[in-house]
Amino acid sequence: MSLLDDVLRLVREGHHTAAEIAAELGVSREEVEGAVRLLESMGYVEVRRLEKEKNPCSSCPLRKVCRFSRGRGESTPGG
Amino acid sequence: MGRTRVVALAGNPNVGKTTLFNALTGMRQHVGNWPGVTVEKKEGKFTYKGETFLVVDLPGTYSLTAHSIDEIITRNFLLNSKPDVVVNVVDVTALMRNLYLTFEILEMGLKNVIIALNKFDLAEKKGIKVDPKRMAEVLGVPVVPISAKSGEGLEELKEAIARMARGELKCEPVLPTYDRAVEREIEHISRVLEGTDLAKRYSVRWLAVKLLQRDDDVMKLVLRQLGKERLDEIMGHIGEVEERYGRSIDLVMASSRYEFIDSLLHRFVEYENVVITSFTDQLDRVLTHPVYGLIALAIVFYFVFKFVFALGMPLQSLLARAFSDLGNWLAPHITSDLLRGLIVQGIIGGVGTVLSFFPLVFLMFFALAVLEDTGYMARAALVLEDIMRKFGLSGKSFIPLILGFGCNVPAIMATRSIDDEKARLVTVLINSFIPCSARLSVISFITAVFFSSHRALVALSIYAIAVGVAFLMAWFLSRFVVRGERAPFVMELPEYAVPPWKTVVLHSWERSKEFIKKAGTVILGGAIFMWFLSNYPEPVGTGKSYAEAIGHFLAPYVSLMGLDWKAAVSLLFGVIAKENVIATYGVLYGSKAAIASAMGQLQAYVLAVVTTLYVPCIATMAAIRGEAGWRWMLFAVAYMIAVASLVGILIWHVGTWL
Repeated sequence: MSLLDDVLRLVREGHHTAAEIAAELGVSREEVEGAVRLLESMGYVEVRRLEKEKNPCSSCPLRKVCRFSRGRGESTPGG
Repeated sequence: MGRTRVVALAGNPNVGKTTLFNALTGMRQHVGNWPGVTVEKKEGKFTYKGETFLVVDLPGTYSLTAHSIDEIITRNFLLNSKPDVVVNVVDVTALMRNLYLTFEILEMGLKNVIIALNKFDLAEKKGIKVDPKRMAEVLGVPVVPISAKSGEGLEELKEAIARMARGELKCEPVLPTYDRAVEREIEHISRVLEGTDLAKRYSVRWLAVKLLQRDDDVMKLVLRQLGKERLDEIMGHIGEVEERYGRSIDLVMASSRYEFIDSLLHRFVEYENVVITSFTDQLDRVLTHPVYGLIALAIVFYFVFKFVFALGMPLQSLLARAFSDLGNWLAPHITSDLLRGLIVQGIIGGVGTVLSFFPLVFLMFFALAVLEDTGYMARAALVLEDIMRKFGLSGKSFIPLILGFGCNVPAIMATRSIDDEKARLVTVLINSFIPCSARLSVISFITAVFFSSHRALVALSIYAIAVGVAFLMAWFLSRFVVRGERAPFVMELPEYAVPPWKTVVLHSWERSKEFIKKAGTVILGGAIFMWFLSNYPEPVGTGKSYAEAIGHFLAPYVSLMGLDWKAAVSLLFGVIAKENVIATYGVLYGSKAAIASAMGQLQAYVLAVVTTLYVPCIATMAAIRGEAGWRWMLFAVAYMIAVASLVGILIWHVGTWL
């Protein structure tokens, strides 16, 4: 069993933070983060990030007609 | 003078690659973009013993699997641009994950790699003792210990680069070995590829490894070289090997690489048993704990509301008085009764009442921004996620639900990340129960006007009811519609930090200025319309106004919740935008004191809860229609009215009984 397998097993068992997993395995958080990123790029785990909401109007279906939409007039990269 | 040699800097993110780049090149830098993409490309020059070197800072990556644009750029540059020297920056405090990338680079068949062992000065503090000489022998790659930050070891690194570029320094790396079945397949594919044009450009072992990992780019290369039939034959073999393992072969190989690195590490690293638990880790043990984390969440939000009301209420009173004084000052100057009524009662009474709550909205956004920037929000999300699972929600539902506290519209759009269609539908349907910022102003208004004490607790309880109802409905819908899938996930928790105050204020202003914009548009329109309905054909009080007619029509229904016809009218207008609930009371009563006499605390509490839970605003309805169709939008409206009514009736009757 490699560190990668151990990390995947613990994530599947419901450990949701790198610090938790690192404490469980007795390795550094940085090592776990590396394994998690690799597993993420391979599609085995999902890494959730709470990103700041930049412009709530950009996804609104009414943005083109809404008078106070912040995104009015902006076009998507595709068009 | 000889030609300029190209040096590529490769490594994991945050290993000090850019610090090394700056230390090597100083001011001789050029920043542009990589062709065709908006990823920053940094190049710079340095001269060493009369030779000039062009340093290219490659994007930081954990692997070279070509899944992300950064990985593709790094991989293509190393493969196709053929740099003279590759400096692999390795963080000595996290060797396992760093060497994973090192071996991916070495597997490409590169023989010009130098390992720059960075943060060497920090290693001992962390109880890590590395023998660089032994490391170089074991790996077969030159190793130079450095500290990019202090500049230690940079001269040695430059010397190594110069010698490697001249061919005086050898790189004969040891490569990872895999299980026998995998190695057999690598050999088989290598034999097929040997002698082809591809073999002239790339290492055949690397091509074989990548084919085993079903790398799209390499599959295309081989398809062009060998044709579909041969490629299908190879992929068929790979499928057979995979079947034998019972799991994906890329995971088998990645796992083998980790085992291989682990077996090497013991030969040049000693780990003292020093366990350093950071402040962040210690705090996280409490804040992400399923029980303590939840208690902490309640306490944090109690103090958020406490802060908002303690600081916001005096400002709100000042603004309310200013609007009232403005109305009183203007009234004698307007001779027309119609115009006076419209401006003083309709516009100043309606919009002014809403606007007077701006300080509370701003302070709430400020408090939330502080929580975000300190890193607490990610912990709060993790604690909530645990509960969501217990209520049968999909793991992917929680980001859209957290977004709902800002605005339900982008939150509903964010459900697109949920693969399971039914789970997505449940998330869409419960999202509107999450109190958005518009409902925050209504909650603040009712709490501030009708409650003289325990305001924070009152507001917190309304939020708790709304979130509780959302979870209960999730449980109900997922029980009868779908069960949530359990996708394994890891929550990325940022380090705790002191918030950048300037950014926090700007961010809060950006969010709360929408409230002012809305007051000048939808709420202004709503207030004028409300004034018209309450003054025509006869003024309110005569029993002949349109507002009374509508209100009395709905009164039997809202009376079940202890509310009167005025509450019914305000709820009706709140469908357009929730803030219109406040505007309606402003128009109908004119002043805060008059509004306060309109109903008792229990009725006010019911009104706040019902406003929070009943129908989504028009924009949210449009979002639901867009994501789920007309049928589900109508269902959402109907079931939300039903749920809000039930909760309202329950609170009213229980409250009266108590």
